[in-house]
Amino acid sequence: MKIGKIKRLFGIALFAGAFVLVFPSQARSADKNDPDVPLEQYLKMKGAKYVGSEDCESCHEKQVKEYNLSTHSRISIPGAEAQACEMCHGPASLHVEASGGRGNILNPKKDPSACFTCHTDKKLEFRLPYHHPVLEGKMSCTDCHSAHGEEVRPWTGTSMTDTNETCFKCHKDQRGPFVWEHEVVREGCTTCHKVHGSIHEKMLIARDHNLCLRCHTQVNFPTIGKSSHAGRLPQGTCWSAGCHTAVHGSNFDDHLRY
Amino acid sequence: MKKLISGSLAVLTVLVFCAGDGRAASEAVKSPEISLALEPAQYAFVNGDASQFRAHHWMATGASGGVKEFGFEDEYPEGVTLTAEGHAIPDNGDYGAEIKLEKEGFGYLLLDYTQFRKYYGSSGGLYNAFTTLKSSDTDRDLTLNIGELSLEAGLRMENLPEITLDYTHEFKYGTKSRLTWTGVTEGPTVSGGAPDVLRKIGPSWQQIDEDVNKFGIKAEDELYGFHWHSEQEWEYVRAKNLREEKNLSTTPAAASGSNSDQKIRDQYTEPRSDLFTTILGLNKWFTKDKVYASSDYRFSQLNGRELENTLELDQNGVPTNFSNPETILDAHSDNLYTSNTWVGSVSSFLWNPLTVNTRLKAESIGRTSASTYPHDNSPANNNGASKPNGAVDQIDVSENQSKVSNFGEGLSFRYTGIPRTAIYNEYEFQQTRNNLYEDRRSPSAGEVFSRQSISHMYRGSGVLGASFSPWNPVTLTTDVRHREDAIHYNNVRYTDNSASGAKSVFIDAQDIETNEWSSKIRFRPCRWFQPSFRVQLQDTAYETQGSPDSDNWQEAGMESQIYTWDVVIQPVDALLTTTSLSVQKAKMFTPARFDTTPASRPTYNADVLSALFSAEYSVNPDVVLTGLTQWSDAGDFNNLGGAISYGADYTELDVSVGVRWTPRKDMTIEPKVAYYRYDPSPDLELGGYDAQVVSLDVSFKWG
Repeated sequence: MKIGKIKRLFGIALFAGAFVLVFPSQARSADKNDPDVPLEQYLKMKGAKYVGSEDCESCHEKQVKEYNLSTHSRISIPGAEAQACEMCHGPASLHVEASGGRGNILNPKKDPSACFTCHTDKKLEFRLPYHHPVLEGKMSCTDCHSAHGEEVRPWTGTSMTDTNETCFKCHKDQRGPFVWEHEVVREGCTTCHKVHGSIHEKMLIARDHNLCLRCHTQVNFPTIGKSSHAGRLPQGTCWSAGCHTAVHGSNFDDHLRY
Repeated sequence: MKKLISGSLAVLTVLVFCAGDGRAASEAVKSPEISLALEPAQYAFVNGDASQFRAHHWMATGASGGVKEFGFEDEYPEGVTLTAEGHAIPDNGDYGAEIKLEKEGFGYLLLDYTQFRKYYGSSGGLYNAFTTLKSSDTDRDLTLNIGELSLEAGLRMENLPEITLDYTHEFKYGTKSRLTWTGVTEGPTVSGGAPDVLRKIGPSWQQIDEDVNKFGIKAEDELYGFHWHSEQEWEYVRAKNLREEKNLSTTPAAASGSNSDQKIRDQYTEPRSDLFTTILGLNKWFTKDKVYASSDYRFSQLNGRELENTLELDQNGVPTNFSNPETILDAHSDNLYTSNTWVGSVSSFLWNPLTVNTRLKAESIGRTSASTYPHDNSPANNNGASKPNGAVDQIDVSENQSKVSNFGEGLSFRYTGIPRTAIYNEYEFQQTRNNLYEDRRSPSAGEVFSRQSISHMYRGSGVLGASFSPWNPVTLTTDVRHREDAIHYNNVRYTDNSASGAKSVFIDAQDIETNEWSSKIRFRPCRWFQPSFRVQLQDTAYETQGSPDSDNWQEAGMESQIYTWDVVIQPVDALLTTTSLSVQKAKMFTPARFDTTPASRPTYNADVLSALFSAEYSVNPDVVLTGLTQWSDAGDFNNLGGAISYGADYTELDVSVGVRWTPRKDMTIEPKVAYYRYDPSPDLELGGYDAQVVSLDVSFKWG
């Protein structure tokens, strides 16, 4: 028993020693400029070097200028290995040498893996049971985000479009306007929905009454307004049938019932 | 739908034919490149809740096959190129085609078609104390087909403005699930012989048939060094929907008449909207591209109308007025929403290494809304055979309007004067004033409602962040954000409290404060070992002041912490592995957690732990092995005993392995086997599944 334990410890020490010895030699021999991309793409782009965005500008002047104004440009570090365009599109030397073309540069529009390199949390959120179908290839990150644009998040206080316009491109039935508005919709869909992926159906951030009670709360709870909800809350959520089912807004009912 | 697909295929045929013709007349520059990936066989075997499997994985069950990917690219003399790509998996309702014909220095024609299917789980909720109707399933196939066909033509000639014309047809048809679960009543079967118990756990659905037609024209050019752009868009939305809520009950059908606890409510709606948008913009780079200024104006008018009819039926489908009847005949609504928005910005790169951006926004929004809601209330009879007589007994009329003025200011700085560091600082402020009039008239006193409320919303947010790379292998990004929203309602006029109705306004003010911290460190000591760690913390506090005690602020909140570890290991060129682990902890709490009645709601937890491991190994240039394992676990069930309980409590496991074999340069064969398991807590869901999916992809490449 004791000898077995010593053997195991010796094995671990040997493995750790080998790791320490191999690690720096690998580090020296590895080409750091090799891109961090899926294997197939990596093999296609093997040997590509970072060239800087000046080379990109000669063909993609409009995109480079637009990028300089974008939210993404703020994290580009001067002097770092990958800057500006190549932070997302990978090292561009092969693309430049070939005077353009596909396959020799990353295209995040078609493949979200380039976005996931930084937004690692989103990669796993899109794998939760309820999610937008980005990994399934039916949508892409660029359907909602303009990576080059001045407004990567087009729902700021100074954006040209309304807070929810990105969502309403597809979800027109929730757009309204409604005769009886639910004011929170003006604050943004993300007040109630976790838009990349969620453990809850309809991508809600919470599945129970607490979602509504964050705002609709008062000192004499379970009274809400002037009506006691003591008997109703144990039956189901606020938006269950017969109650406030028109949560995005109603054309006919001030209590958002229909 | 078929017409659209036929139309697309016809255009595709014509384009390919024309291109081919042109090439025959004059020698092609090079032979075309054609690739075709077939999925000749996929079969998904599901043991358990197949609808839930389809919903989670966006995948059909049973056999499916088709063209997974088609690509065509050819070049012709005089700078003409034709590219086409597409896919078609009919059993999964998944189609796509993009054809682009382009002539350098002249323009292009682009046809794009996409369609996919969204699946929904078919069951409602679960209530454990029930013995007979613990959980129910709708008998409908809940799928929604979503897609669009667009045709775009662009003129790109020198010395002429860039002009783009486009037409898009979007569509949605099918049936989706709703979370407006219906009432389910179980009789004295509940332990203790208690009276009937109602829990809202019955499934509910909505049939949708929506068509959108959009026409657009865009133009842009340079004029005296200014870049101008203009857009005009017209959008017409037409839809016909049916929403059904069917109550379920164990109560035996009455000898005569109907049980209201088995009633069916069908709501037929026909929403339509016409949207008209104009955008005009001007921008310019000054002083050797060191200063940028832009000014954009947008006018938008949206006219929305809706027609609604609601029928209540007994369990046999006979129209019936129950107590509190809800039979509605030809209800109409009309909304006119007009907005004028101006946004201006100035960015300066003059004082390198400092970049300054400023943005201003001014907006005015007007909304005028009206609706009529005619009820057919008679004869009314609780639990009796009372067929509505077709006469309107009560009309509720709503007339609302709002006038909103909105201003926004943004200021941001980026400083790169410290070596290998970028620091940014952003501020944004918003002021909104909304003068809202709401008036609802009705012969029924309980339906009368009116108020005039002038609300002021002040929002401010600030971000301080940095991106830092002390040496090439290490990158650190970090930012802190603070945001405050303060909304105050000046309730000028409102309906007073009555014996049966509430005061029409009961929130006087609300403050929402959010603090966030996000940071990521990425370490790349060498190509083959690249770990990263990301942390995101968020805390939101709500304070609400309102009726009946305006001095008493109620507090609620949300907190979330997300930690993500990610490591890419590539010990040799041929082997790439990625391992990710994410811990997400989230909770939401309101004053309801202090309540001692059955209405109490404890803190809602939404924690989930996820792990992902993927590997690709190139055995030799012709054979690549692929594998992926993903696991997630949530255990957030709050058992509230007699009250209905919610949460997410499951374990999910996905495993897939495959081989990508290239026997010839122009051919790849990829068999794949996948296993999916979803194991929910029986306290929350009766679903769950085990599924095996086997597939074979074959791809060819010519040219």
